[in-house]
Amino acid sequence: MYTRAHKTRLNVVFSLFIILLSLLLIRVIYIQVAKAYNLALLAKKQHTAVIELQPKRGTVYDRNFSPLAVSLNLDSVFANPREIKDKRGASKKLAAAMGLSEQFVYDRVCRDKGFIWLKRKISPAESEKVKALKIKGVEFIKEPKRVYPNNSLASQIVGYAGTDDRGLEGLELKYDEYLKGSPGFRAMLRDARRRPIASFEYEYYPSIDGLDLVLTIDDVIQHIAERELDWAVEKYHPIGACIIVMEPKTGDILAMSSRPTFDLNNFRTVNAEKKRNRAVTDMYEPGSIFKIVTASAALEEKIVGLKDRFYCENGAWKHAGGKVLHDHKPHGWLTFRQVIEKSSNIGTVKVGIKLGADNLYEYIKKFGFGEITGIELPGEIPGFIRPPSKWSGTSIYAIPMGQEVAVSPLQMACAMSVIANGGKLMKPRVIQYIQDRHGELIKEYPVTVSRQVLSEGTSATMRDILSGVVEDGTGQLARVEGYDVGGKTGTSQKIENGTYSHSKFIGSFVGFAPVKNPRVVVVVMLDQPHPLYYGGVVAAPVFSRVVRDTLRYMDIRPSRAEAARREVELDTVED
Amino acid sequence: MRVYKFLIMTASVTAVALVYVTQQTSLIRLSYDIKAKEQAYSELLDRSKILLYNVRQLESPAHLEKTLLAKNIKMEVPSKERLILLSSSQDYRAEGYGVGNIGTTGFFGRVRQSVASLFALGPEAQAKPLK
Repeated sequence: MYTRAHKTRLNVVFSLFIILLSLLLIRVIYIQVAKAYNLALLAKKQHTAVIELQPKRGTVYDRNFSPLAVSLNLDSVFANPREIKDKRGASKKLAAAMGLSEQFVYDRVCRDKGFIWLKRKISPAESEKVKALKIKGVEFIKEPKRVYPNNSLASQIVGYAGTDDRGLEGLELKYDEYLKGSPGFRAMLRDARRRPIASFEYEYYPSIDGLDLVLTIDDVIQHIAERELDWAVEKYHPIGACIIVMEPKTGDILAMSSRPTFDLNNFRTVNAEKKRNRAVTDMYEPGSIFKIVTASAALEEKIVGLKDRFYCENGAWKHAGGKVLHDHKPHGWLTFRQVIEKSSNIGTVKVGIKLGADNLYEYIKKFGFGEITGIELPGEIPGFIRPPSKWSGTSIYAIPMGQEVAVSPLQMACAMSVIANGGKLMKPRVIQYIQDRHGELIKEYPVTVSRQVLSEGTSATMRDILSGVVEDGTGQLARVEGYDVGGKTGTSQKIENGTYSHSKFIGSFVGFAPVKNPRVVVVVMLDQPHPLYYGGVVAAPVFSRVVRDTLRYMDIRPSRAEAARREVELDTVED
Repeated sequence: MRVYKFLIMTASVTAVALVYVTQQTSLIRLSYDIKAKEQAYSELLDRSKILLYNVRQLESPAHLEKTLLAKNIKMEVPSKERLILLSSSQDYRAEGYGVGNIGTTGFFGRVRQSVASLFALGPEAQAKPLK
């Protein structure tokens, strides 16, 4: 029977439904209208996979296209500990495959997490081993890593890039803008398993790969230079050393290295001392090797002739500056040629005085001292030379023989190139060009002549004099069998507490080969070698060994029959 | 008639819908295949790069020298008398040897050169004495 109570109950239920429906309607309107924008965004975010496309960092090549720095995609290993059943067994196998301690791996896989790194950027060999284990819960992710196939070769030039693929040192730092490229991205629809579906692509901005640097360095010559520098370091224990091999006609740096050095693949544990490129960042008093500037200037200005004679005061000369100037060995009368061959300080200073302060300063500047060479390497220093107006009363007795000036080894290489190439000061270069990954030229670094410093005649005369230094003078240990070479030795005292030290020296040698048509200029500098320290003893043999192998490698035929090895007495080469 | 029309229409719409769905499914399947191929291609490229890197490491002068020293292989630079330089036949001809050395001037010379050049199939290494 349908009673009033029934009707009331029906109305209540109906009203309840109406209210509920109204609430639902309000909720729907709220979701569809008020929250629509935010929810649509959220949905899009969930449905869309945005994949960042990392550019490949450019490669650094040597002049023969041997890679010096490359980027590889290496496997990084992670684990989902919850999926690993036999944790002890898995740890043992994984530790053996990746060269880790078993306890370290075990501690990691025992954590209550869904993701944990085991080892990042492992070697391909390690990766193969781990993959072969087929352990459930152990996965791989590709991560880019900058690697250096030659380890420490040319480390101070190439520099390195960090984990984020950004350059931190050397050319990697200076040319980071070119090398790094620019990232792109790809926005695609993704399925329930979060896998992107390529056919539903919303947006695609391709990444632009980094550009490649092609250097002037030759990896074989670089190796020869470094091997011989290591030989000298082992024998004479200097606190630092550097070597430069340069092509005098182009200014191309074929090799450049400093000691101590470091492995580019393990740069994190290395201190700043080992990372310093001493060839461009350090300056030192050059000593006798600077006499090539004084001699060249005097010849160019026709102040002296080859046969002009200078009295060398039997090894000790109290000059007008009030100090006593010494030669290593006493000499009487020497011709100008002999002054350079025997490296007489007194003779050279007398040549310098004859030349005059203004002329000397002008040529020092012309040779490029006191200013940066403009090489494409970071941290280059200009060296130091005061103008004549600021010279002291003794400066004219010091500067001609390489004191009171500070130069970088690179500046010395450029100066010797002037003599070797017919008088032109070349701008040194370490980069030939920048190219894209298809080999298209992007930017060229052309061979640049900065200025003509000497005439062809003067430079030829200087080459002849400097070949005499090696044949009969202080540079006899620089001789190379079968080849005519020239060069100059130098031994400079380091300054300690404002005075010249009698126990700390820099031994150096700068030379070129072959004499008739110089193809290489080599600078060797050893900082505080011991027990021997003369440039003619510690640096000249390095020059000889480097030039011998470099000329053979460059297929330059010997210019004369191999002479019988001559014994060289040590005291004839001490300077 | 109306029922017949309705059925035809329904069948058509269903067919179009099925084609569409099949197409979309194929597209997605194809996408997965492409993705897998891309992945494999990228893996192979990475692997190739790694192998090239390993080759480069093995070829590096430092590594070669270390290996030679370790194996005690005493290598030395050959003396002048023991050297025979090899040059390509093109260089050889340019220096007045080989095919180019046959009289090359005049009509007959050119004919002789053409006939001779038929037998010179490509550059070949030839021994040349040191100057």
